[in-house]
Amino acid sequence: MKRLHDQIEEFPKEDVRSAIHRGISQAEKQRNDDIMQPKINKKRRKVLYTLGSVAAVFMILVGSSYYSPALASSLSQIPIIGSVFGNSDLIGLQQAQENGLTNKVGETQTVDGISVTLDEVLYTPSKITVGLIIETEKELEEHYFGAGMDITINGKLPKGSSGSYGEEIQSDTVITAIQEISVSEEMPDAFDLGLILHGENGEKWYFTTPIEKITDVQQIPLDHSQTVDGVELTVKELSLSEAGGSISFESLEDGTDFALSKGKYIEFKLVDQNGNEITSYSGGGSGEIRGDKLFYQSSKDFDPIDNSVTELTITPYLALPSGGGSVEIDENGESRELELNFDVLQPVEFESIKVEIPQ
Amino acid sequence: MKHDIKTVKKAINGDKSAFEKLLIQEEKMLYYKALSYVRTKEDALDVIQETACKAFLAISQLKNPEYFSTWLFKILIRECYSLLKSRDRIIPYEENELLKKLDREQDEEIESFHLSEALSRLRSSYQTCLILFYYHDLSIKDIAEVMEKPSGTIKTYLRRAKKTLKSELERSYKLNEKTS
Repeated sequence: MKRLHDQIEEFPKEDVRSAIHRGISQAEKQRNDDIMQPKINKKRRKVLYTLGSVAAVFMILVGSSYYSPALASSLSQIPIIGSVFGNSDLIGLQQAQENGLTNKVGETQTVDGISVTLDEVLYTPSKITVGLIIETEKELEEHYFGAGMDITINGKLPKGSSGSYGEEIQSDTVITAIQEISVSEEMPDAFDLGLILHGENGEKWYFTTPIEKITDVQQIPLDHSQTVDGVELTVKELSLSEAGGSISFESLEDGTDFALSKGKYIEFKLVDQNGNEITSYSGGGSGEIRGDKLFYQSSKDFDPIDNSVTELTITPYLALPSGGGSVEIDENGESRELELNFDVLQPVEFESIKVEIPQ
Repeated sequence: MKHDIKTVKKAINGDKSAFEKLLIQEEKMLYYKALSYVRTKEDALDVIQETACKAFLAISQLKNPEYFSTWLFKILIRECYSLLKSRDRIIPYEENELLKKLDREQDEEIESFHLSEALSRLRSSYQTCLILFYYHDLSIKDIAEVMEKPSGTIKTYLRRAKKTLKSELERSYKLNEKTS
């Protein structure tokens, strides 16, 4: 094969380099032109995982709402929606709203014909949930607001934050949205929460509101550690309130590649003493490489439990997706798709933890 | 070519200048490899441009940074193949080189004169397989990727290609004997 080019004229260095350069520019252009690719606001999200096919993923709200033109025309006549939380399907949010645990805000800001109302905020030990009502003059494209809002804590940008954002289309011109922000160590029990929503055309809506963590929370320390199939899992705490419950946990495993991490797939099945399952919700978490280990921490939420529950059996498991992948976003905002390796990602049988609920 | 793993990782994370640096390190290989397939300078440059574009769009999916070169050249070969296919052209080869390799597989020596004729009678997919396998030394897996066919199909193509080539060669020998 070499002989083919031995006698060929000199290597056209400049031409080859400009072909390489043109190719890269072409790729950049294609990437920018790709309207199917939602513009994700990646700033300041340290490591965010969005899992594809886990049961009851909160992100499922995006695009899953049914759109009926007939209903839309009647809904558009309704000037305002009662409460974003009250109208949501999430029992915890409904109860929190009914029991007055939320911070009602009701502030509206209008930029270029798009009115965004910060309806209410709920601050629980595991997350901050924000309800928004967005009213527009004309229909907006899908993913107009990207992956939701950026936040500030007492006017300062946090080191990192993770969460999820979902929209429900109420009519051609009314959207309700719920943003969840995972609580980090940087967040005091009460602080001024700043919320910045970015529109696709560069619009910016900025709200600040004082928020306070709900106090009526029962915290049950568990500190249960187990190591199974190379995953060291520590279930740290169970917290219960009228707004729902959450389980905080950490995982540690060998390796430096998040694509192979099992920790990010950990979910929990909760069953009460009568065998009734409590609906739990998956969500994001954050991970980091510590030496030659992968560390991952998160908390998973579940619906509120009533007084009849005296005991909970918590069974950790891996909610392995059947397809798709995750996205890793580093501190510089660069994203990378993580391909799934099903040779490594095998189910893990963790032992269950029984917890008595103090009455 | 061994690349600096750090630079490859940077490129995987979307660093444009790191990616460009890697391609420039491979520029000669890219050019001559492309030229060996498409033959003209203009086509080789087109292939390099397409390769740079496709590779930059896909690099985030590269799992093993140490295989950057292998991965890049697979894209390049695929681009060469699709360019040739769009022009209904067969992958060029040097007869003597191909002969040497084919001879090792055949019972009797093949004469250069008969080879090109016999090869040209094969279906283009058979020709491509033979040339990629024997002349360009591509593995079955790589040929499957280039031709976008399952490995099993490539194995079948190769087996049938060899069988057909053999009978075509025998036919042309006989014809030759009769005429001489």
